[in-house]
Amino acid sequence: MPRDSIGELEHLILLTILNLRDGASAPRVREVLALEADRRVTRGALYRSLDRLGEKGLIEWSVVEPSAERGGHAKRFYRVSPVGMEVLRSRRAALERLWAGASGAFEG
Amino acid sequence: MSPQPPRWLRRILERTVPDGASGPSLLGDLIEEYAAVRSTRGRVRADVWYAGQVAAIALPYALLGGFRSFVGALAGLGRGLSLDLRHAYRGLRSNPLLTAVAVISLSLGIGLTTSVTSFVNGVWLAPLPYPHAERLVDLEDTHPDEVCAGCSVGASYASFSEWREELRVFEDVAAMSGGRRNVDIGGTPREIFVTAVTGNHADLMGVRTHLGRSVLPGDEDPAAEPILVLGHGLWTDVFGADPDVVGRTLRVDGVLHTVVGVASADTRALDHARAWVALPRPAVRGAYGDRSLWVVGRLAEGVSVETAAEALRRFSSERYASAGDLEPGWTATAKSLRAAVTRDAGPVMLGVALLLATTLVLLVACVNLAALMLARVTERERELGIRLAIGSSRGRLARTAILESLVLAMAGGVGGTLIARVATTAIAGQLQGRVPGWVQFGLDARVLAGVSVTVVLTALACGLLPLLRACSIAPGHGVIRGMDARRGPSRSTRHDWLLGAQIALGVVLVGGGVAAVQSLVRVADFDSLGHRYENITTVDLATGVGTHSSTDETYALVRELDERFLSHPSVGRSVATRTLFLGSWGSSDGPSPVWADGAAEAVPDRIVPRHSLAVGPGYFDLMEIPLVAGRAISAADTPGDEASAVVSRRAAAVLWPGSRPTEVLGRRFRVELDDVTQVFGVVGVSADVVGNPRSESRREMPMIYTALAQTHPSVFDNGFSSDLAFRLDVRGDAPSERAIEELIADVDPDMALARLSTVEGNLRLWIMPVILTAGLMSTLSALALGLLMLGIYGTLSYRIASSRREIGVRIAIGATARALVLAVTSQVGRVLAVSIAVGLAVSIPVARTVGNGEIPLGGADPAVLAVTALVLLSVAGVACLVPVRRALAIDPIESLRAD
Repeated sequence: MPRDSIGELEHLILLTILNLRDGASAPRVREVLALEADRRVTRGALYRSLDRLGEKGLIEWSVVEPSAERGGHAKRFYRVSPVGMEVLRSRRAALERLWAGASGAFEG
Repeated sequence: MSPQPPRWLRRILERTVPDGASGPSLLGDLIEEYAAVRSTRGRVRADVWYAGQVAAIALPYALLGGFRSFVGALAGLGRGLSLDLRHAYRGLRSNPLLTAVAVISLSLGIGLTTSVTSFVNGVWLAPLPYPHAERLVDLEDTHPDEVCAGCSVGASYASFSEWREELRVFEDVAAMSGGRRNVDIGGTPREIFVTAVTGNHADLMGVRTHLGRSVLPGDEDPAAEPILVLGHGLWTDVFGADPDVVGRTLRVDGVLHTVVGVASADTRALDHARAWVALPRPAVRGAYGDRSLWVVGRLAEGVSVETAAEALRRFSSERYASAGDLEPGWTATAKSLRAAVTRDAGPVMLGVALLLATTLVLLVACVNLAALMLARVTERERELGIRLAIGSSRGRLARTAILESLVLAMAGGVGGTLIARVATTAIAGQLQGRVPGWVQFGLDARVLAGVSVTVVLTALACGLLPLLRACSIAPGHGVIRGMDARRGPSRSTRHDWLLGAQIALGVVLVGGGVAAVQSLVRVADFDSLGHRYENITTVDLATGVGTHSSTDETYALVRELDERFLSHPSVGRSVATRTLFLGSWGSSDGPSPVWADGAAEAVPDRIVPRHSLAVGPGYFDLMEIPLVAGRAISAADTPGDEASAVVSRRAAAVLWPGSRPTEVLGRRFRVELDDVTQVFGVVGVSADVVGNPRSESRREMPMIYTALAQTHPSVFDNGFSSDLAFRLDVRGDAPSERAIEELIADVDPDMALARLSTVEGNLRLWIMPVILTAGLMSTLSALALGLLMLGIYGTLSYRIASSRREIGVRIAIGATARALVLAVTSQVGRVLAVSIAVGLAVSIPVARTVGNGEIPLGGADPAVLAVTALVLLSVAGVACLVPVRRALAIDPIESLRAD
């Protein structure tokens, strides 16, 4: 699959990460998706999508050192990579063009 | 420190979620969330929440991971498997005798099971090859009297049309009437089985056409042009698959018919039909008693056979009672078409018994294979011990043992399929033309699937015991002297059980075989039938006699044909005959048409000599039927004189009860039919002959023999008497069909040869079911005996091989040959005695519950049981010979040195 090809959920996740700025941990992404986009995803689906976005180079993350509270597991905070930003831009332009062409259908 | 979820749940998650990517982050995030949930909802609810999360996350990962591991494991297994397969192959190659014996016994077992299963499936079990076959029923008249109990009498057109029009329990009802008809093809008269059918027959029976059309309802109109639909076989065999055949005209029994279609190749006739014509609607209603139709119906949706039969019974009883032209008691019944068409093949239990018998043989083959494999594993104990000692797992050893069985079973399966293929083709070739079209006999996909399952089960069954044996060998066994491999039941016990099981199964089978052969010997004793049967050829003519409508013409025709037949160098004598049906229930009701002089009433139909014979001069001499009193039918019995007749002793007793043979000479009886009454004077009394050699009681039939030259042609005109036939006394080579056809054509070119047969051949046809059953059962028994022989041989050989040292010591210290033989065979002898006793004990109830004379399985007759035991003991004795000779030939020094 080409790296700039993203599904609807991936598109939403990228936008959510941008919305959350520096505090984009996976549980927060999941909450915001549910609140703002009315999209409820399972944890398994979310983490697999995050992994996929990482593999495509569309997101990057910083790691907070493991702590005892987290059972010795590290924590990740996600951000959209420059490539991801480019993909979002082109997706937005495409959508705007399509919306412009389709706007007549909503008038009157 | 914040609260942590239960450790075991965490572990599950840690083990299933992969280490890379978001895995660790996911685990940590979940623990954080757990802490949040616990602070608001409490520990228990938080634990439950966490458990739910674990399940939701772990399951997809576990499935994904499991799939990957499975693929990996398969690849690993494949590598190990190919090694084990090579090992199994080498092992089998190193012991060619055992391998050959095992493969042959399995091939025969599987091949036979497949053939018999195909046969039983084709005749008794497979659904009939018609659309909605489960809803097809056979409708016919019936009467509770002994004359008709269980017989097949068909139905009249009057009944058929009422059933079709008025009974709503049937969606559709069709009628047919088949028989051999004289069809003129390109100037050559040929006798062909043609069935007249109603216009809805094609739709009901799913007849499709390859060319043209089938018989349609419009063809039933008496004014419609007569049409003919050719069967695919007839079209290819006789018309050379001529694509322009539609539109041609042919004479059927002298009437011009136009060919309108050719049935498709997959059309299966319910009878022997090779062509179909329309069954014309009669101009007048006709009598209920004129039963000449075979009626088949399709049940309406949701109606059971029982419901339909009850509706039909009520409807017909009422109609027949009110019509007044039938005896009281006549009604009609419906039964499943499957049951109706297999009535002639024998009870379904016969098929089940044959299946059981073949299953037993396969079981014996499997047990035998298991015993051989066990012996093989035992022989290889040393090798297996070494393999265990150097680190091979027991599972690996067991797998090798199973693989060996599987390889054998596969070889046996391939061999079995080939044998089945050859056997079914041979049997199908034998049955071709002799069985109705619906019988589908051959290897089909279902039977092949059955064989595959059998092969797999065989492999598992055979692998099981060696597997247990292989698993119980101690590491290093055989390497260190004195180390005992046995940790389960002793090897001898297992061998004895296997041998005993084979023998007991064999007794049941052989008992059935002996009973079947005994039954065959009884029915095949033609010498006690009361007439000659050897070197007599029967020439059956097709129609033509109808055109010779007076006794004078018949007489002239017979004389001419006699002369022509006698001109053939192999024919010494020629006697014309014609069957004379003197019963009544088939065509009309009431008493029989035979009146003895001085009697106030006709002879009751139930005892009348219904299957009688009109014969030419010399019949009694030719058939060697002795005369008890008076004279035989002779050349002096010519047309114009009072008709002469000879009656058999039993017929004399029926016509004039209490009279001695000499007292009936000169007495008269008359045959009264609608348009003719003929009086016959008794000129002789003959000895009795047996009619059906197959019947258990071999009842002698009452017979009337009239002088053919004097019997009025109308007396034969009742739809049941056959055409003219000739019995030829043949010396040397019997005349060919072609030669007879030419001789007939010399006399009358329109007359066709219906059938050329021999009296002996016809008798054999009568007893064909018994021959088939006995043949199958004796083959099965022989196979079981062969397998038993191998089993006993294998067991003894194994026992001797493993006791070489002991035998050597015994010989060294001076044991006599007798003592040695006793020592070697005593255990096998004990097993043999016990298992034969058990087998005989089982055989009796099996024979009584499954068998009823026609179904040979087990044996209840003391003579059968004694023969069975004797046969088994003899076989066991032969099987012991070689191993015992081998034991006696053991050199004590050599055996001790080798040890």
